Amino acid sequence: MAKKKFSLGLTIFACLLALIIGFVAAFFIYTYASRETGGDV
Amino acid sequence: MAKKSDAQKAAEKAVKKSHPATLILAILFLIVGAVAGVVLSRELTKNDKFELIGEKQVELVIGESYKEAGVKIISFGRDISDKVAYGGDFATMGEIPEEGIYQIVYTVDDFRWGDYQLVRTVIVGNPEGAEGLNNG
Repeated sequence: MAKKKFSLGLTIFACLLALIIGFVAAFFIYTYASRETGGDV
Repeated sequence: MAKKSDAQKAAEKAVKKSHPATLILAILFLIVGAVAGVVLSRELTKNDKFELIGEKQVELVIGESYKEAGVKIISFGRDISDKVAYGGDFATMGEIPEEGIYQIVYTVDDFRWGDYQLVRTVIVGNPEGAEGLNNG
């Protein structure tokens, strides 16, 4: 099996993408899941 | 088994070709991003509120005009009280409502408060059924 080569550019790109995806997904999912519903009816 | 899409194939190929350190760092950054998203959501929404201004139950004598006190709505730290929608009996009761029991429903078209509503009861005169609604 060929040895995998470490690429700094790819790593930075992958980390930034993961950070953005994780942030946006968690922000909206948490906000939606924790919002108050109902009220007084 | 379902046929894999081009994007799925490309993603699998990229994962196989990537160095393990790249994958581990990407997963770590995903977790850090998720934690930051939750923390920011909590910070932005901690002072949010949707509440009635004035009494929840208003009692008027016949012929007295009804003054709408409104609601206070804070969403993600911004005051969006002017976006409130008045429903229920608000449209039919008029400025000087006749004797009866009216319910005004307050809602807002907003991501944070979209499924939330408040109700104010307005009792004019002494209509039938009002005894059970009295706060005292």
